[in-house]
Amino acid sequence: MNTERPPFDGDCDRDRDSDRDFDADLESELAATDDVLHRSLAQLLAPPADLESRTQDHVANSLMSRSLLGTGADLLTVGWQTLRLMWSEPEPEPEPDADETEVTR
Amino acid sequence: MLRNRRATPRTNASEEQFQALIADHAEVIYRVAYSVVRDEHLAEDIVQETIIKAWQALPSWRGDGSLRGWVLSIAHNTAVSYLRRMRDTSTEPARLPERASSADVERETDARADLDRLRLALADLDELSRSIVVMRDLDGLPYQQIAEALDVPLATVKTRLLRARRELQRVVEAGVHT
Repeated sequence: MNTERPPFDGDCDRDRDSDRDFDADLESELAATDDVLHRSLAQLLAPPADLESRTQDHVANSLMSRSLLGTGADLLTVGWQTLRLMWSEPEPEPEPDADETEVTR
Repeated sequence: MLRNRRATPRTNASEEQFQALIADHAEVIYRVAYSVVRDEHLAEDIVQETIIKAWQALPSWRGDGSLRGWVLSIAHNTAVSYLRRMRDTSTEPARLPERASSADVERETDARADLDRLRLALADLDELSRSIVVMRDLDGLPYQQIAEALDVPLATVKTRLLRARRELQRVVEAGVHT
C-alpha cells in the first residue's frame, strides 16, 4: 500500500482531501494484522514460565528487607535523638522578673 | 523523622492487590523490558524493580489513565535507565546486549533461524519502535495509552508502528519463502 504523500501543489481543498486519504490509508494499514508476525513476536518475547511466582517471591522479600532496614534506621534515629536529649545540659531557668519578686514579697 | 513507606502487603485486601499487580502486568512488563534491553536476566530484574516502584507509588496514582499504561511507562523508563547505565559503565563490548552473528544464524535450525532473523530485525529498530510494537501488537494497548506511556505524540506511535511492522514483516516473509 502506498502511503507516500504527494507533494503540495498549492490547491488547499485538494490538499485537505489528500490529507484525509493519507490518514485513511494509514489507519487501514494499521488496522491490518499479521498473524505470522504476531506469532513469531510472541514466541521471541515469551517470558519464562515461572516469571510470576519468581517475581512475587523476589519482590515480597525485597520489600520486606527494605521495610526492616527502614525500621532499623528509624529506631536508630529515635535512639540517637533520645540520647542527645538526655546528655544535653538542661537550659538555665529564666531569672524571675523584678515585678514578680515584688509581688511575692 | 520517621518516613512513610509502603512495605510488604499484610492485610488480605492489600495482599490481593499486590498479587493482582504481578499477575496482570508481570508478563507485559517483561516483554517491554526485553524489547529494550534484549537480555532475559536484565528483563527479569526490570520486572521486579518495576513492580516494586509501582507498588510503592500506587497510593499516589491519580487513576486518570489506564493502570497498564502507567505501569508500562514505569517499566519503559526503568528499562531505558538500565540500558543507559550499562552503556555508561560497560567497557567490555561483550557485556552489552549481543546480536547473534550471521554465522550463528546459519548454524541454527530453520525455525530457530527464523526467530534469530526476527531478533536481529527487532534489534535494528530503535528502542521506541520496539516498545511500540510490543505494546500494540502483543499486548493490544490502545494507541493513545501507548503515546501516554512513552510520552510521545499519537502520530509518532502510528508512524513508528507502521514502519517497524513493515520492516519486521519483510524479515518474517523472507524467512517463510526461503
